[in-house]
Parts: sequence; C-alpha cells; structure tokens
Amino acid sequence: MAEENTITLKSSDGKEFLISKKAATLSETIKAMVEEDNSSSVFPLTVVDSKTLADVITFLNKHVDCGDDDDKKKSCDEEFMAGKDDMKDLFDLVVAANYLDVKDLLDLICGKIADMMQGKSPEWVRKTFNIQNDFSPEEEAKVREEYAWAHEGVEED
Amino acid sequence: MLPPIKKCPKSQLPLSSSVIIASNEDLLTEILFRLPIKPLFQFKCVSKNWLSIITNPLLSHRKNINLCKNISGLYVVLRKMFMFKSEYDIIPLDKNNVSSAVSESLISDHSIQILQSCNGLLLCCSGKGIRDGKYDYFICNPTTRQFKTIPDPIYKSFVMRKGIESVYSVNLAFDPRTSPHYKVVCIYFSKTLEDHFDMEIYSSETGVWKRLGNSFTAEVNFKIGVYWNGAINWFSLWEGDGLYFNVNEERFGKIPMFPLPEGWEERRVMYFGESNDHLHLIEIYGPCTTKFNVYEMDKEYTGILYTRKNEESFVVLSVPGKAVHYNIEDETVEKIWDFDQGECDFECPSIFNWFDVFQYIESVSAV
Repeated sequence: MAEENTITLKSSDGKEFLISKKAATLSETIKAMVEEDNSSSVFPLTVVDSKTLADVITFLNKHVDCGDDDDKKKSCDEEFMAGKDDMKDLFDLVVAANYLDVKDLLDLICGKIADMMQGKSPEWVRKTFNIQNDFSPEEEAKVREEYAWAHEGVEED
Repeated sequence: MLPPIKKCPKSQLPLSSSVIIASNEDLLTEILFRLPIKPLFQFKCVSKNWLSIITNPLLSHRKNINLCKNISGLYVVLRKMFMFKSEYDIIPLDKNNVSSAVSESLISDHSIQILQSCNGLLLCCSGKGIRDGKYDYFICNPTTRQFKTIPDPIYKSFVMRKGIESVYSVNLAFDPRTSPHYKVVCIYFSKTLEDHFDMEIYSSETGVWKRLGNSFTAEVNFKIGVYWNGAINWFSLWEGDGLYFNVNEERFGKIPMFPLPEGWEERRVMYFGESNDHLHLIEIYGPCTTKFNVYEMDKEYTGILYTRKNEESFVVLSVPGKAVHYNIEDETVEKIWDFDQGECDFECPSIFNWFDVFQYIESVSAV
C-alpha cells in the first residue's frame, strides 16, 4: 500500500526523488498533475534541477510534519533557511517555488531575497538580477533626484 | 588562435533563473513588495521595467494596506515656539522600522504644525506668510517626503475679525484600504448664524472644494477630529452627545458619550484616537491620574463603550522627561524614550498634551 501514498518526482537532470503524496501535493502544481493523471507514479519536473528539487522536498516534508501549527512552521522555516544566503540558490528556489506553486516557500524565499537586497546599491541589484540599465544617464539622474532621500546612506559601488 | 576565455565573475549568475525572474513581473512584484519603503524607492532607478513595477498602483495599494496596520512611531510636539515654530521629536514604536531620515525631514522645517495624522498622511498647517490670519493647509507623506498644498476653501477669504480666520477646524479623511484618494473637511464659523458652523469638503480625486448644505451646531471639540469607520468623529465637551460625519455618505450622526461623573461639568478627555481600526477614549476624573479605563466605540455607534484588550494592547504614557510603554495585558512597563530637554524659548513642557501626539504610519500614498 505504501506505493500508493508516495510518488516519484524527476528533476530536469534526471534524478528521481521519492516523496509522500501528502507532502508533494502541498505544491498546487503537483496536486493538479496527480489529479489529472492518477495512474502514473513518476512525474517529471523539467524546469527544476536536482539540487533545487532536493531543497524543495526537504521544505515540503518539514511542512507536512508541522501541520497547521504556525509556531512550529516558523521554527522549521528558520531551520530550513539557515545558511541559505547564496543569491543563485535563492533565485533557483524562488523560480521553483513559483513554478510548483508552493505559497509558503514562495513567501519565505521572496522575503529572504528582499532582506538581502537591503542596503545594496542599484548597481549591485542590476548585476545580481542580470538587468540591463535602460535609462539614459539623464533619465536615471532624474529618477534618483526625485527620490534622493531613498539613496541617502547607501554606498554606491 | 582561440580568443582568451573570459573569466566569469563569481557574482555572475547563470542566466536561467535570473532571466525567468526578470521576465516574470508577478514574481518580481512578490519580491519587491517585501522591501521596506526606502530600498523600494531607491530601486526605482534600476531599470524602466523596475520603475514601472514599483510605481504600479496595485503594488502601492497592497503595500499601504500592509503598512497601515503598524504604527512605526509617534510624533510629539517637543516645544511650541513663536507662531508655528514647533519642534517635533519622534518616539520609535517599531524599533526595526523607523527611518531616522523621516523625523529629520519634518523636524528640520520648524514652521509647520501637524494638525492630524491619518493612516500614513499628515494634515499640516503652515504659518509661513500669514496674512490676515490666514494659514496654508497641506498634506504631507512623511515617509516619501511629499508635500502638497491644498487649494483654499471657497469661503476662506471671509475673515471673522481682524487676525481671526473664519476657518475653525480642518480634518483629514484618508483610508488607503478603501480609496487611494483623501478628503479634507473644513469647518468654519457661519457668516450669518451665531454659534453655527458651515462645512466644505475637498476631494483629492476631483481637486475641488464643495460646500455642504445647511449650517449646523454641536457642542463638540471640532479641533480634534479623528477619522475612523469612514467618518470624522468629534467628542463632546460637556454632558451631550459627540458627533460624527460620514465623509462618503455626507451624513451626520450622534456619538453617545458616557454620563459625566457626579460633580463634574466638563469632560476630562485624556485621549481620543484611532488605533488599528478601533476608536478609543480615555477620560480621567478624580485625584488619581494613574487609574483609568480605555473605552472603545462599536462601529454601529450603539453606545456600548467597552474595553477590549489582547496581548499586543499597550498604551504609551508620558511621565516627566520620558515616554513609557505600558502593556495592558501583562502589566509590564518599559521606558522607550528620553525627551531631549534642550533649551526652550518659553514653553517647555516635561509632560506632553495628549493632543500634541501624532501617529507616524509609513505609507507610499501619493499626496
């Protein structure tokens, strides 16, 4: 009977992860996949790599154990986030959480990314998010001038 | 010969995830929404796309609703000096969240006076260029440091006596949860009927004042209006009812007040204000000023005034030179502020009037 309660998730690089249906369906996307195709037990997730998927699965398992206990969730989340301060990993996670539609994880990672952006320069943001500055120098100066107070005390690099 | 291999800097991310984020406005909005206001406004200059996401009214609306729940600090009139030269101090209530710059911006301009704080916006009065007892009124968002002078009410030019303006009181009605626009209610002495008042309403949506129907009279303190429940509320000074004016429905109503204790002819109101969508009243009678009840009005104005508390309920008390935080539930007391006594021109209180304290609520609302 155990097989019926578990499913296999396959990452973009072909690794397979066994997870309980209960934990997996905390993801709205997986829930929809499972409901649509009840006969399969392996679900390929073509846009999530194995490293990120392993993290997501850790999160889902922790949250299933926490149930509706918000205090428990909070300490679980703190434990989960410990040491996660690499922007690349966070970006991978946020994209996965968004694709898999796991609201709690999305909230958590978005919050962490926002925390890490504080005190940084617009140039740092452009570099980190891979954004091309499409303002002309005059346009940028105008926007900066309008909100000069927001730039006070922030080191430019 | 092969071109030299470019070394990838460590911070350079592989395109995949960052490209997905950059092209997904919803996801970017989710991240940016969680930024405090200062970095949020700072990052408007990142790119045109970011500017457009950050200035999206939907993001502002969501942000304001979230910010509205939290009082970051209290402005206190530290000293009143000549005319409008008031000095303000700001008591932080949310230690992580008060931008010191905000207090500086307001404190540095000593010629303004805060009349009312309403869900993130301040109604202020400026004595600059006073002529014939006329003042300028303006709306200020202290967080984004935006100011906007309100046009003069229609009947403002009418002056009672030399040096006394016809405008008796001005109140602000603003709730970003229901509308991004605000209204200003101006009450002035009736030209023709003694002890009567007339009213005009300004809407930031239309940008014009309009006169409201008939003259009215009430024994309430029009100077201290509190916006709550879609209405501006005024407490009564004596035995009678208080008054409210529902701003959208343009309708008056009565606020039942407690009977005065025996032997008292005048109300001793020590606080009348809104907090977290509740209208509170504190009156202190008798010799013991440290014993009081906090009353709360229900939204139907049925007259049931009751106290309700939860673990987060607290009052900020002013004791000479200090502000203390008193938690109603667990009865703990904590000093949160020492007032800068400094040098005074002439009036330098060590205890502050309750009506000289204004909430500082962060907001991204445009004025």
